[in-house]
Amino acid sequence: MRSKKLFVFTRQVLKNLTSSPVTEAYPFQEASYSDRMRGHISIDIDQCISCTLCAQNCPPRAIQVDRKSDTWSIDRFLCVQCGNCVQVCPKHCLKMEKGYTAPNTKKTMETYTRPPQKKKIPQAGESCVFCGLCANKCPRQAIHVDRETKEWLLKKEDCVHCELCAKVCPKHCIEMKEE
Amino acid sequence: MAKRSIIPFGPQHPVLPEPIHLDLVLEDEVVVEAIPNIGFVHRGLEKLVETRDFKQYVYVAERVCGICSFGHGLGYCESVEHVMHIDVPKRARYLRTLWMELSRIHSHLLWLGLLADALGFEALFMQSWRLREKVLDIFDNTTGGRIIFSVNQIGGVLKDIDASMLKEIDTILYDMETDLKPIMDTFLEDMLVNSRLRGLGVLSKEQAYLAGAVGPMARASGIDYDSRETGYAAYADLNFGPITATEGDCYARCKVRLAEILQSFEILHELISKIPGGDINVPVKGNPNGECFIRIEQPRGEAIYYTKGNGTKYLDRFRLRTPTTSNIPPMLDLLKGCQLGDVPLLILTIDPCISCTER
Repeated sequence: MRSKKLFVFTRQVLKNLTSSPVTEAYPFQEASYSDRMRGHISIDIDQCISCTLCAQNCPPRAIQVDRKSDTWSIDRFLCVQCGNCVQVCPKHCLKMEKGYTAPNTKKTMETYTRPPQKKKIPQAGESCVFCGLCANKCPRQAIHVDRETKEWLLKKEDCVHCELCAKVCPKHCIEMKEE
Repeated sequence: MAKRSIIPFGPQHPVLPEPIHLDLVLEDEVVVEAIPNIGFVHRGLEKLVETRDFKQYVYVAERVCGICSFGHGLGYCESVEHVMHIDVPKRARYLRTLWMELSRIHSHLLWLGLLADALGFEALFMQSWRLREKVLDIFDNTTGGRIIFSVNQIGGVLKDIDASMLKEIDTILYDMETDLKPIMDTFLEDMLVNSRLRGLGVLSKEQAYLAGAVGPMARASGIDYDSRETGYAAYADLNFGPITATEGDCYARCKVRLAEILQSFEILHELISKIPGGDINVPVKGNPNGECFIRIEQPRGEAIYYTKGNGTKYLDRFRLRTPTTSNIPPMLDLLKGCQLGDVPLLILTIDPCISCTER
C-alpha cells in the first residue's frame, strides 16, 4: 500500500521559522563545556616525582618523562585525552581540564621542569614482618623482600620516591627519609 | 546484447562518508556486477595489541570506529573479562547497557540523517541530526566525550551516573520520543520518501541468510536474530525481542531502524527504573591467559571479538569481525540488477562503516 501523505514536515518547518537557532553562536558566544569534559591534561609540576608511570601507561606515547633533568613533556597533538595518566598518577598531580588547547601550525612538545627538591627514600622499621606487599606495589621493582632470610633491600637508583610502599604497608613501619 | 562498460564508484563519492571502491559493470543503465575493493583506511589497530598493555588497549579498541566506539570498547572488555573470569559488578553492567543503547539511538539517527541527505531531503537530514545532538549532550555530561567516551575499563566502568542525572536522562528520552514522531512520520508516510524507498533493493530471507547478513539488514529481511539475547552486559535482565520486517527492501530497513530507536527508549526507561546500587568496578589482578569469543550487537549488526592471552600483559591476538564486513556480500547481491542511480542509496542502506571494517 502506497502512502499518500504529503508535507508531513511543514509544521516543523514553520516552527523553525519562529524559534531561535539550535546551534551555539560560537565564536561570538563562549562555548559551553560539561563538567566532566575531557579537554586537555594539566600538571602540577611541584607535586610531580618523575615516577614515569604516566609515560608508561600512555597508549599513544604522548608523554615523556626525563628523570635526569626532572622534566615532564607532552605532545598535545599525540594526546587522545583518554585520561589513563590521570588514573595511574600516584601523587594526583595530573588533572583532566575542560576546554581545548590553542591550535598550532607546528607539532611541538610542551615541557615542564620540576623545581629542585630533596628526595625522600623509604626505609623499613623494626616492626617489619617481611610480608612483601611494598615490593609488589612498587612501580619500578626497586624493593626486594626475602621472607626466609628476613631481608628488606632497596635499590636507590630505581626508587621513584612515590611513597606507594609506605601507603600500602600494613604495619605502618616504612618511613620516608631524606637521602 | 547491450554494450558492457565499467564505472569506477568511489573511494571518493558524495554519498560515501568513508572510502570504499566499487567497479560497477553496467549494461546500459543496469548494474550487472559490482566488484568491491577496500583497504584505503587500514591502520593496523589489531596488530597494536601486541605492543600495548591489555588494560591500555581498551582506549585503542574504542578508536576502531567513531560511531560504534563504545560497543568496541565493551566487546573488548567483555572478552578479556571472560578470559580472566572477572565478575563485573551489576551496576557497571547496567551503566554499560545504558551507554550502549544510547549509542544505538545515536547511530540510527545518524544513519537516518544520511539517508535523508542521500534522498536530497535536507530538512529531514537536519532534523534527524538535531535530535541526535541531544544524545551527544547526554554523552558529554555523563562521560566527558561526545563520541569517544573512555569510560570502559577491564573490571567495570570508570564513571558513575548519579540518581538525579539518571532522572534527567529519563526526561530527555521522553522529550526525544515526542520529537521523533514527526521525523518518523516523514520517513514512513511521506509520499516522496516512500516512492524512493519502497520496493527498492529487495533482499529475500533466504538470500540474506546465505550471504550472511547481520543486524537490521538481516532483520529487515525477516531473520529473527538479535545477539543482545545472548545476555551480555545487563541484557539478560531486560525485556526485549528482535524487531523484524518481512519486505526486505530499503523501506523495511528504514522501518526496522526506526522501530529499534523506539525499542531502545523502552529498554532505557526499564533500565533506569531497575538500576541497582553498588560498586562500579572491581580491581583486576594478574594477566589474561586463555582465549574467548564474544558476540555483541552493535547498532550496525553483530560484531565478533576474539581475544587470546598468553599470561603476560601483552595479548597474543585480538580479532574483530565488524558488521559491515558481513554486510558487504548481501550488498553486492542487492546491487545486481539495480539502476545506476540507485547505487548510492543501496550502499547507504547497509549502513556501511569502512574504518571499522579495515581497522
